Amino acid sequence: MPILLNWMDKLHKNKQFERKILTDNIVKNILFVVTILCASVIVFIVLFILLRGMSPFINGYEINGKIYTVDIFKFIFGTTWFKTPNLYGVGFIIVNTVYVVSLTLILAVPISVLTALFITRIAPDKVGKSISYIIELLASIPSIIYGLFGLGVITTVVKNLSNFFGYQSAGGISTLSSAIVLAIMIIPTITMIASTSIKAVSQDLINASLALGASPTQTNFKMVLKSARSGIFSGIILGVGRALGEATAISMVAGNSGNGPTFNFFDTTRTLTTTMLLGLKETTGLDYDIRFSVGIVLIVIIIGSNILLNFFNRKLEK
Amino acid sequence: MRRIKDFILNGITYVSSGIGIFILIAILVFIFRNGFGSLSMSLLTSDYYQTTYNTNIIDSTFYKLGDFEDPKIENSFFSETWGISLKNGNNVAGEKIVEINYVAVSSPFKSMNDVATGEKREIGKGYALSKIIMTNENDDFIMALAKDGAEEVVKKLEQATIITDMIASTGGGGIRGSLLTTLYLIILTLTLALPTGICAAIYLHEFSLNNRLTRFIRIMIDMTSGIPSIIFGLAGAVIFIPFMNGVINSNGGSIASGALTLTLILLPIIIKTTEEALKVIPVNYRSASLALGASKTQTIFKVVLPNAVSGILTATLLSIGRIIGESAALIYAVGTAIKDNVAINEKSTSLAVHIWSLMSGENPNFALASAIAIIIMIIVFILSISVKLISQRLNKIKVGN
Amino acid sequence: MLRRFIGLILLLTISVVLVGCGEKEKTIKVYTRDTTSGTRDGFFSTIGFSEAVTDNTVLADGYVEVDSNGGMITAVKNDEFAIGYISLTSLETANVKGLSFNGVKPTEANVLNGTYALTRNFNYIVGNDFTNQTEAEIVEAFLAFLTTSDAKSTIISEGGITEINNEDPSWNDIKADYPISNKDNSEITIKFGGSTSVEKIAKALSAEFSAKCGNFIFEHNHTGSGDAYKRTQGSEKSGTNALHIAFASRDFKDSEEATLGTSGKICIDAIVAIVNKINDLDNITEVTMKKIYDGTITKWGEIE
Repeated sequence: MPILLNWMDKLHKNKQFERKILTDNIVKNILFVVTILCASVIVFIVLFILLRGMSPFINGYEINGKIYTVDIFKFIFGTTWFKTPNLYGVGFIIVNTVYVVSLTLILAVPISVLTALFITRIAPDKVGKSISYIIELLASIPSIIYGLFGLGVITTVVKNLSNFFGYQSAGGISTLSSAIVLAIMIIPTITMIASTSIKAVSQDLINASLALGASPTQTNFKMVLKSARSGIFSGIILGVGRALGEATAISMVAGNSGNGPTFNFFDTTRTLTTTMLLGLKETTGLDYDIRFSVGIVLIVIIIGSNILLNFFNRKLEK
Repeated sequence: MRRIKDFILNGITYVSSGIGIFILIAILVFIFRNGFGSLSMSLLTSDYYQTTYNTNIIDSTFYKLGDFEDPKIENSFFSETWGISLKNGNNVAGEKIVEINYVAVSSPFKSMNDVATGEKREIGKGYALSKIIMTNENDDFIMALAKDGAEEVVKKLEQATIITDMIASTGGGGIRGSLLTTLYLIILTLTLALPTGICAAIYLHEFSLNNRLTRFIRIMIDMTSGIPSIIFGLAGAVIFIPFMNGVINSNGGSIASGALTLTLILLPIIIKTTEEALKVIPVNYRSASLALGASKTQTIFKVVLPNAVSGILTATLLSIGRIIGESAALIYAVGTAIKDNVAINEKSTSLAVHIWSLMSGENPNFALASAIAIIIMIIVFILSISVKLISQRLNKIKVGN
Repeated sequence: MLRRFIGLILLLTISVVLVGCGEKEKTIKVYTRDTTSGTRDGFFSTIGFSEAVTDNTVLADGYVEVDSNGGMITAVKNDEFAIGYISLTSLETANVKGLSFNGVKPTEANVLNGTYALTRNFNYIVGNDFTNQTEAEIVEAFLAFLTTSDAKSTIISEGGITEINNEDPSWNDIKADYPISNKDNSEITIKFGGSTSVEKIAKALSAEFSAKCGNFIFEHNHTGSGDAYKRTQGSEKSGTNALHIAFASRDFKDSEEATLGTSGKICIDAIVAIVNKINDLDNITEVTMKKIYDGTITKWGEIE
């Protein structure tokens, strides 16, 4: 009898155990499915944009009674955004985008790296902390406000600057204004990552440098920055991603030049994102679908630049 | 020599850091200088569009010449016949208007016939008159328009005996609709994104094995966070707008399609932040729970998650900040039409897109745009400070362990 | 390697700036609306440069495209050497200088007497077959309403240019012919759309007429003149985007032939060429205007 009871008890416990395993398994599987869904978001996004964005090159669109299809070759190498026979060209816009982002980096990288150095190594603890908090606040400001600021302040400054050089700009709406607005927006990104990587430089290395007779400043600029270069470069990669993809703020200050490329600082420009955003009303047809094609180009450039820069970064580490 | 060089090098780091501070101050000064004047409680609670009333006074018994006494308000013109005082002004769109700034107690304007309802309506102080059609004793047609200016309108009013048709409007310029839309977007998006993101974070941290699939999943999620928001907007426009048109019978973009798009944007952020919070929870909490006979599911939902609450809160606050600031994605996935009557299955603008619409519309309105910017900044700063406080607490717990 | 690369970029950009600074003459900066704009259509058609209506490539080098009336005003206000064009309605508050066209000042009087030539018509078109009788009657009453002094004064107060004659009836005079206006129509939705330039006038008209015609619900979805015919009588007339009443800021094309009695003119809109306040130019001729926009004239000094 006790044996039977014992056995039944065991059976009962086993059942409980099995049920636990079962629920665990169910929960695990549900969570797994959700996770896979989250991970596949990017696939869906790229797939659907690709489908829609290829449509202008495949399907015919009616404009004023005639049927048009965009020539993909002329699209990629075109130097005019819109003209009736060949329709859309995005080549010069790609060049403009890369140019504006390079300018942005020239402005933003020195400032960000030096600020990061100041926060982590030069400033007194409290000052460093409060400045890094200000940088975090800057990072949290929405881009539309940067755009408003750009339109209200930076374009005026740029306009005066161009007048000083004796050049007429379109009210300050220009390549330079775009680069400055973008630089302001990516400085927090680069600074935050750079300061993390500067913090990570080992104290032993720094002590060694100091012991060898280098002054603290020399140590900071030669040794610390060199050791943190890979981390700083990762920050720059992130900054480039943000600058390439930023849309609202830059389209308020970039202008809308129809052909190009534009290299002059004070001329209006047109980047991939401004092309997608400007003139967007409740349009349908080709003018709407072509924006998806521009989107594809943007995705390709972002991924491409990411791969390229990461390749450089790996070289830098060696 | 070396000291001078060091001094210069140090100096430029000071200058660089100064730039960051300078920019923040410049932005704050700029938006406050432009927008502070327009900031008021009524900005938050009133509609963007004006309410318009179509009224008349056909009963000529009201007509009593010179009955009313001029209150002599500066810069305004008084009609002795009708007992109202008018002044020139500008509306939210920057257009010229003629505004009533005084109505005598027994003025006929206190009880006009409302054409739409057939009832009496007072057209009082603060109303803008856009057109008045009148007739005089000889039944001649007289027309007064807002663009004539207050003086001219009063002159014409003095000649009239009957007002056959008058359009007056009040209110307008508020952001109640956009405020509501932002709130809807936050609630909808969070109800979708938080559970999904937390589930994924739990799987990745508690269940997943460190194999190739998991690494692949992580890479995919990291890549999603690198996609710019305008691309999410395109995706929202091409995936969710048609989907929602089918499901809730919307016509084009809607708050629902916007919320779904925002969900995609937020997932990587929520997953990452939640996972960080899960990492902080000591392993022995889990072992203790499991040793006491709790199943893994019970452990996760009763022990792990409650301890990760502050991390999840951080994720929520970050998400709210992102939703409030998002513009490019919503321009595509919802649209840019400002609305007063907000519904989930219709287009309307969040605060950020409201600024975009104002600036890209027919008459850019810097003052109102800056006022909205101030509101957004205040919310964003509060969120950012809260995140900071929570993460400091989190750090203390970490150190304590 | 990296340092040399950065140095190269710096050198390149500096040289580009220096090259750009060479021009000291006052070049005309040409501003235009985007190709979907009705104002652009009206402007280029009138100055005899109809190739430019939908094609940017024929425009002068360095032209700037803006996508709204307001954008144009802001741009010209900020640029001393700009030339652009806006709707006459916005001129008064715009703080820019409006130019006379062929010696005629841009005023409403000159538009009405026909001397100011830079104008375009605002037209309406309504659907030609309604399944719902009430909707059909409301649309019919609306067309009658457009001829009244009530509607015309509203059009004028919203910036349209039209004349009110003494013969024009008021709504009260003709209301009795349209019994639908005495019913409660608050369940009926009438959809308006078409040109964005006419949106303001259309909204004022619909709001006023709703109050006078049983409080019907009015919905506005303005997407451009091109959709006016398409969504009332054309290919989309029975789709989800179908409209009851639509407006176009240009005349209807031959391919957009409306059923008799379903379309017409509601008012005239004048377009005015604008320059910055400090510019001393006051008048411009049709020929000069075309030469500026096609790039034959590039300097302010070249205009006589």
